[in-house]
Amino acid sequence: MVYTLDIDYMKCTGCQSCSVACSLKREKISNPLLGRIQVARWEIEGLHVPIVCRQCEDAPCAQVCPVNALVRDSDSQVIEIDSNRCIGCRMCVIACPFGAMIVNPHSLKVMKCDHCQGDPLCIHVCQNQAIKYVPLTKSLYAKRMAGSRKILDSIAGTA
Amino acid sequence: MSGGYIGKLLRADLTTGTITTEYLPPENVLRQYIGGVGLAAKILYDEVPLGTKPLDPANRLIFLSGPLGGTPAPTSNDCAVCCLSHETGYTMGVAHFHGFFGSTLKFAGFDGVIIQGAASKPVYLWIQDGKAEIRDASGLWGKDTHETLGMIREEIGQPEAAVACIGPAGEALMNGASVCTDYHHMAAKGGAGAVMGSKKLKAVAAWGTGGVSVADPDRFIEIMLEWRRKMFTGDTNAQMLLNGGIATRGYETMGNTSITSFKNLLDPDGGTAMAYAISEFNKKCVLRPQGSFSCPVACAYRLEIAEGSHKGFVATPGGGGESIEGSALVMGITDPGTCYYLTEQFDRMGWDSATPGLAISLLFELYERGLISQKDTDGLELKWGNAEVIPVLVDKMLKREGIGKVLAEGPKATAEHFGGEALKAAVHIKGSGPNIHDWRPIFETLFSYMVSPAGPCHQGIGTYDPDLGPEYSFPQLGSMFTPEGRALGTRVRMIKKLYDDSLGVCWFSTMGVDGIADITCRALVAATGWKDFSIEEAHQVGERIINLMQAFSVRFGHTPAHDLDIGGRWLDPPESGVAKGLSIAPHLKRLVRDYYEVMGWEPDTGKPLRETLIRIGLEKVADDIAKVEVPVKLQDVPFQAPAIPEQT
Repeated sequence: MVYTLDIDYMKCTGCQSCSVACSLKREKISNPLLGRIQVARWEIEGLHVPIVCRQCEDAPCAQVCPVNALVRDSDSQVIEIDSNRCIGCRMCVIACPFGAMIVNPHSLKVMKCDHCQGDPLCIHVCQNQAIKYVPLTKSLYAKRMAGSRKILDSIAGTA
Repeated sequence: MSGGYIGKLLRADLTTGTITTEYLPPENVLRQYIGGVGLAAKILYDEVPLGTKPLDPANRLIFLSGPLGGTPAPTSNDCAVCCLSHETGYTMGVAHFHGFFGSTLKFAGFDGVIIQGAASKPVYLWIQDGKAEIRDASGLWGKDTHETLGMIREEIGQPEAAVACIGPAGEALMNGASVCTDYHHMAAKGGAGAVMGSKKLKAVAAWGTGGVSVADPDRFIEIMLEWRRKMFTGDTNAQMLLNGGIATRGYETMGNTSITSFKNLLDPDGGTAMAYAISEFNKKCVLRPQGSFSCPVACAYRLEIAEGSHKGFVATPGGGGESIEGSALVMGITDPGTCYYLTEQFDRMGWDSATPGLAISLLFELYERGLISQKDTDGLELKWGNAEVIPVLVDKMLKREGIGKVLAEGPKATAEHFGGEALKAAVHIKGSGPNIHDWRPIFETLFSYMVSPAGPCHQGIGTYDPDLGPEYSFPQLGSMFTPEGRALGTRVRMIKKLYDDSLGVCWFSTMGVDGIADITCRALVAATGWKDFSIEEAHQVGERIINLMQAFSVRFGHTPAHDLDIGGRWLDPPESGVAKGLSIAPHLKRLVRDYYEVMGWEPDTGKPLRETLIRIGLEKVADDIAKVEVPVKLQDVPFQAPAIPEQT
């Protein structure tokens, strides 16, 4: 089954728990810059946007990769980096429209979210559940129901 | 260096313009003080020369994270901000702020920063990836705390830099001046803002690409997940404050316990009504919780005022309830939008509202009672609720002009200026404003503020931390309206608080959490690799810190008279509310003695006994204070509590 990291942007408080937990789990060091999920913080507005790979269907990162190092897992549909092939040109960083490709500023290694092989740590430290890991179909169902509720309410309000 | 720590401190001498990097003390010393307030206390004790005054260049200003700082531990953003207190002049001044500064400092390559000396012109310190420079701040002097943050980030070209700065109150060396970070967060107590101002240091900015290593990452992840879960299980403080919870749930709780200060504490029921009114008002406003680094609570919030004369105004309060009381409620302001507007003004000035607010509210009361007139107030009409005069008075204080010159020195100095009834009406502890709620219904909190060796605040004392559980072997002691057990309660809660505050995490992640001592010890072991670190050792760390602070105070002239230095209004039984007619006042002098005894200090003077200090490994401190003669004995302190009327 295909899972997705479902994000409710209005619930994010900008705390970066996700980034720092990710870095410790995957890079064995606590450093929010090394998280495969990042939080773009807009302090004046008080709104914050978690940025993480969307595992795009027509992925710009994979398309521009000159050595085909970005490979989609046929089962989970997650795109992973084959570090044996990656030459570190960072074309994927340029191509990603979200800024979701991460570069370690020290080793210059390129990283991206791969859903932790089906058990992402970030969702467990997000107190408001701004990030959820759910089957894609469930995510769509939830969206549909929330959207239809608004329609229902407005119809009922005007009827 | 083992995990958890970066291993380095930055020292900036602003007199000479020298910046040096130092290594942290060795592991055996770190295990005694951990970090945060503990290590800061050790540095202050060792480095501040006897006889130093708070605003002297020789005073130190210390920013310190701890071994859990910057890790995925919940609230790993704590930064202790410590100095010789400008509020008292004879205690350590201890504050903590949150936001992103403490963790960012570690990512920038340092566990802490020690500032000494004083610059001849305004400067700021810019720390990046293990290096630092002192930069000119002439163009920033006079700017408020929000403007300063934006201007520095732009100047250094680092939009995510964490900035700790002072506002005009710190520049003007005001009593109660704070250090502000990330819009919402204040190191409010101990007068760190004024000390920073005296050093002509406008700000410290930090950013970096480094990380914090952890001895056992997988184990640490397990523990931090358990910790985060337990923070929101049962009756914890985190639960109440979750997502800007003070704005709604918190004010309701305050209403239920009659601790909202209103009209200089004359009207508890009025305060309760305001607590409920603010809570209801906030439900109509747009509230966006703002998380500090690695914080699941997000107690700070951005509030867009929905209605009234300040409709559309955006306030950026912290997650505690006090600031709005000192900024507005003690002056009897009743419009919630105006309360938030005024709170924001004090925050932007970099001023903990308790101290200036309680000086102003005293003036209001004296005016309302006809004890002073417009000729004493520079012609201002100080009727309860008159919000227009507050910015005028604040401006006069900052310029030390007219009545502002008196008010600027704080509520006690204002009371002494007018004398008589003013002394009985004053709301202060050790001369300054405490974390301002009306603490009279919570006996232990009021008492512990009086004896806290960090000055009048909860930064030295773990007050109102609820059930501490069996790991603290502390029996639950009946009603909060009894004097019994308050001395022991203060000791136990203080030991917990000071150990917790040395870790690099916020108190709100430990308060009321079941089994927290065990959790923090395991987290510390997983972070540092100190395999045999135990709860017993943790308790001893707390006790060691408090004793070191008390010994520091004794050397700087502290006497039992200071522990009974409290404004008269605190001694009056509340006129209304849950504690109507009740007062701890008649028991205070005895409780001070009980407290000294239970701490292992001389019952007459509060000087730590040699055997106590030896037991916790402070032999050198015992030698240091051996010859200090405390000039005033507790029994000689002229302290008279007013008679409590019979209950009907």
